[in-house]
Amino acid sequence: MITHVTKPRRILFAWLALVLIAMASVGYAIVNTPSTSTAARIVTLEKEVRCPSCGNLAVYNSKTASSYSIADYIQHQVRAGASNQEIIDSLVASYGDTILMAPPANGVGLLLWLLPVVVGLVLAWEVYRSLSSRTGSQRRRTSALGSAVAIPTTAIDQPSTMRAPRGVDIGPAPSPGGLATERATSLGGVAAMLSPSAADESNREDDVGQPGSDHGSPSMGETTASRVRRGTGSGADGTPIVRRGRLFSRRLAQIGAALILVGVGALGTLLFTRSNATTAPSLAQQLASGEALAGLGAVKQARSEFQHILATYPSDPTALAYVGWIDFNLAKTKSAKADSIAVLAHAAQLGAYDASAQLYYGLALYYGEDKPIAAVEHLNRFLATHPSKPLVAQAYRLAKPAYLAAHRKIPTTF
Amino acid sequence: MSSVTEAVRRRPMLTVVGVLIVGAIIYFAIIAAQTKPAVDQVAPSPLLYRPAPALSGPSLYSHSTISLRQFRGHFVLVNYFASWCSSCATEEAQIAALARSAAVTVLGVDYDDSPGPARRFLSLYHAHFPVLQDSNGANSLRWGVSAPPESFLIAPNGIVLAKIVGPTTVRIVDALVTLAQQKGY
Amino acid sequence: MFDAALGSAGLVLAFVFGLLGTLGSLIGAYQRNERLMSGARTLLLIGFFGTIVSTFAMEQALVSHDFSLAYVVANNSKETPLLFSITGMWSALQGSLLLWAIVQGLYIALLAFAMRHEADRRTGSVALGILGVVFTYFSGLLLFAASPFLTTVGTIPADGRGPNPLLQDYPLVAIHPPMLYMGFVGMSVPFALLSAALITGRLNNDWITRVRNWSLITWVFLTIGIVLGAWWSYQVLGWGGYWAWDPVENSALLPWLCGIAFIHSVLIDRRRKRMGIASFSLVSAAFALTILGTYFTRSGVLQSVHAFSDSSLGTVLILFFVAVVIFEIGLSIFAADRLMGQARFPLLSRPGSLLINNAIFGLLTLVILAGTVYPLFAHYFNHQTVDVGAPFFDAFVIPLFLVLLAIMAIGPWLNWRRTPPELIGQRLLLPGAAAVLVVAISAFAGVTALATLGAYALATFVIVSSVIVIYGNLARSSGRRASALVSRSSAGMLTHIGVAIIAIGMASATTFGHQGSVKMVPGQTVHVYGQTLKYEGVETVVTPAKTSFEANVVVNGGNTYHPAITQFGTYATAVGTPSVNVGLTRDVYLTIDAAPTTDKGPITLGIVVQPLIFWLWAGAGVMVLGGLLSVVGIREQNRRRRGNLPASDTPVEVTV
Repeated sequence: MITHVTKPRRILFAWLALVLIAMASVGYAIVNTPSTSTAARIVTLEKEVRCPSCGNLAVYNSKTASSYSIADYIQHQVRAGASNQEIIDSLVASYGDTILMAPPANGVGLLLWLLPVVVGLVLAWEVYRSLSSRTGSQRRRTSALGSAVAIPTTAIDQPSTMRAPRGVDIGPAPSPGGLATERATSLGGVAAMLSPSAADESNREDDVGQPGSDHGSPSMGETTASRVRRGTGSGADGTPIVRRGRLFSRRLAQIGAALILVGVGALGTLLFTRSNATTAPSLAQQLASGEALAGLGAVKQARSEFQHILATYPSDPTALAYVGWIDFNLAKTKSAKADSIAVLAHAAQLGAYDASAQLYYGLALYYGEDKPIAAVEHLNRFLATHPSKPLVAQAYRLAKPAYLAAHRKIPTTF
Repeated sequence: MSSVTEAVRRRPMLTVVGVLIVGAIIYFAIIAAQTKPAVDQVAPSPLLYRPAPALSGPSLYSHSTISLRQFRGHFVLVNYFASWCSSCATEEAQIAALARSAAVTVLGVDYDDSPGPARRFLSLYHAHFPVLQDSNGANSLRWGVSAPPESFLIAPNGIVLAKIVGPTTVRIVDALVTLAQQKGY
Repeated sequence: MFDAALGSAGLVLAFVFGLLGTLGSLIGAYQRNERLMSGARTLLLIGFFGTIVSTFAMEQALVSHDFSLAYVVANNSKETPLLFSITGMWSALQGSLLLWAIVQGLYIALLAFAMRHEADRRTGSVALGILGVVFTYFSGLLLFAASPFLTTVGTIPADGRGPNPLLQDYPLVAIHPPMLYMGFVGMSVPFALLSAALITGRLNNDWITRVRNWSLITWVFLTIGIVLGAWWSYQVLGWGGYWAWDPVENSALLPWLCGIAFIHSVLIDRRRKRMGIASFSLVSAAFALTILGTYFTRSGVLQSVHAFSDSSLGTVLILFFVAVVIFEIGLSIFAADRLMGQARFPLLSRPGSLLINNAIFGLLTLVILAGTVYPLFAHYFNHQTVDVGAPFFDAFVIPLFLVLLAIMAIGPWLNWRRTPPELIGQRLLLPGAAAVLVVAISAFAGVTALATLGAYALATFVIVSSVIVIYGNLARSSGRRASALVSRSSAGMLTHIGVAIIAIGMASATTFGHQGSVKMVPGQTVHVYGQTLKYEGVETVVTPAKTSFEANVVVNGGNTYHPAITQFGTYATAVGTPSVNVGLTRDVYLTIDAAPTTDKGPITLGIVVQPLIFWLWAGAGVMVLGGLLSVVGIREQNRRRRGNLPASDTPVEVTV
């Protein structure tokens, strides 16, 4: 046992020095952290993506054909300049969330990620309450309940019928050494699996402490719980039943309210995130499928597909252009036609370098408003975006009259 | 049973928490009891009810290129297989039978394999249907194939209707096609 | 046929006598009927004998390749070597349940033996009755739902399939599962003892000590089992890792974590001479989680490389789990008078630090449990097949583990009452300085990952602080060195040192590990990740049980290593067998990624270099040693109590 304590101030200075050195070292480490290289990005991605055919292993750790082809794909995409999220999205689009090593934090997955956080906070609160020294409010509540608790330390074997008569509430005495005074209040806790403390409710009404043999024998040289209790005195419960009943109902209300809150929160999360929880396809994937639908002649489905995209990405020029173009073609009244042209104009404005926006706005200008010169301008912009061959081929048929009407030469790229 | 009410009355907190935990566990047990072990089944896939991803590659038998688009207008069973895979051997006779039937057109995709063994494997089961090679795995990746055998049923309009993981049978595919026809595909 | 009859007879014996013995134990205790209680004990022992007979029949059938048993056909072949024939008993579902039953029977026998001199028969009888329920349940499962003694239908095949390739490649299969089962099944003993005492009301300090001792023993077994499992994965599975957060691995980890928390929680209880409700919850959770783990691994609902899947058992197992939880919670409500509520402690005190420690272990258990059951919920709500892997677990487990290391370093220096901060400051100065020194050196040597820096610092903190505590214990008890070493505090500190060494190993291996593959032709030498590899060619090794295709690779001019691709018996798919150059500072892990097509052709070797991974196993060894010393300490403690010697394992009073 330490009999002589070095001067507190010296210790403080020593610790200060240590903390400074530690901070300097950590700072040095942070400053010298290399910026994420391409190779590091690839490794990160490979660790986040599951090998589809080997259970719980990441692509990084596995050596199957499927994981090799995913690794190749990741490397290729990273080198091509795709962002991590785009690569992950494209993989999810073909494999579903299964391809991720950890579920994304949305829908049911969000509950999984939140659960440890919430329980951690509840536990931290409980531990804090168990650890903090007695506060004023604590004392007030304790004396109000009149439950200075005394537990028999050796009389456990006695049947409960042998309960001694209730003693007098002497209130909380300052505990010597401050150790282990039974908690008078109960936990409000959901975390009861770990420390349900409800037994102190029972203690409140429990047997009066009878000085047991352990109290007599001086125990191990430190203040133990039994000695504290002896110091506290054998007070017992003098609380009227009514108060306890009220306390119980209040607690029940508290628990109920907490549960309702948690339930509503969980339900809300589920409802609001579920729509894109189940294998949300990436924007590119959605656009591709919409275009494919449009190409198939499934105009209505294509339109709803693009509307769906606009719900998430309201200013996506491609989706706007398709919706506008489909509406333009289906429009029966003049005002409907004007509306669709307005949408196309918006799309062309948003997507100065978007092939579909420029193409369809250009076509609409010619076929809808009979402005061949303006139309050709947009059609030229369309060509400048290096559109795909099939789209150019498709556009040629419709664009040719516009160029002729504007008396312009048809570009060779057509 | 007065001792029960007594015990509960004296430990309200513990009782409430206990009942909650038991409730949660029973709920879990109900969910768990309804969960059947994953066996070969018609599996979920993000590709379902969407236009089929691109699928093309060199033919196993000639120098030409085969593409899924050539089969537009028919129900197509895209069958990923490999000569080294033992469950593929289990299903191959069924696939060969399907290819002979009129219900679907079978398009095989040879997964991570070399042409020689693949040709031997197919001739062993008298399987005669177009097969394309997927040597770099790009097609499999687009289609979300984990391990062969996996099959996809494609509608005549090019929409993916079903994904089948593991060995499939004539009966399963026939049932799926009938269902699709009833739905108007 | 003889084996099938004998084995089934053994199962009937186990079930019937287990049931009678259980009822006898419980009724005898209720009626305080001494004769009934001792009679019931004999009945339970006969039940145990039944499982011995069954096990004997099973081993006899496996070793003599008796293919009249369906189980033998599926898990044995004529070419299977003797060792793997024996281990065939726990290579598949039914046999592993038989192992469970016999281990449960063994624990019943051990407990009956340990309590033979007990004056009060009642509590022991109830405890045996509770164990008997579990025993009867599992023998019933074996008898009615998953019998390993079903005979083959039709003609008896000439040869069997042989065990799963992964289970016949490494002799550890003979030790790892039995150890794991000893720990897993053993978790029922502290639970039964504690529940029995709560029922009869005999929960005094001696009994608390008894519960703690049993939990310590089973915890040591479980630790050995888990560590051997990790080592086995490392040696066999070929990806260079040892832990994949697989449901089966998690199932073993969950009761293990609860066990640690219980062992720490009971320290407070022994001081206060009453069982706390927290401790009861922890030991109950540990037991319930073993049953839940059995459900995960035996029902096939979760996909795992280690699982035995069989659909029919799922519902029966989950119902037993529900019954266990209801019993535990009901007991905690009705016997709460006999438990102590959560007490208040000052933050800077030993019980305060133990409380935080246990809360963190509880949270860890919850995180891992949530991640493990999540696939079930995702499947139910989203109709998705999802698994939860390392990124989720790492995100929570690593920070919590670092906090635990910090508590581990500080906790033992706190007094049982509030400890003045300046005293703590003084006591921790030396370990703190060592930790800061290590941080400074590592940071300036180029370590930039903050988690790794933290792990190094805190591990140093723990090691230095624990060594000082042990040294202090030894110095104070100059006369009785041996007894001081096995005293609770020293043994516990040794376990802490083991954990710290593991932390250093893990942090280094994950931060500085490299992996990749190299293409080589025979005779070629390459330098990769600081290692020199020389590929000398391949050879084919044929034994009756397997055909191996082995590469010869010389690592750093020393020994030759033989990564291989092996094809076992009738199994079509070949499995890769890694070969590991184990070193104190780094392991070189070799696999064949692509075999050469001709003898002279190029081979693709997979190579994983992980620094200090050996420390992981060394640390685990130290941890187990610490656990074993505490078990030895139990005997010392008992001897002392009988001889009325003054207690020497008072909580550490540290001298700096």
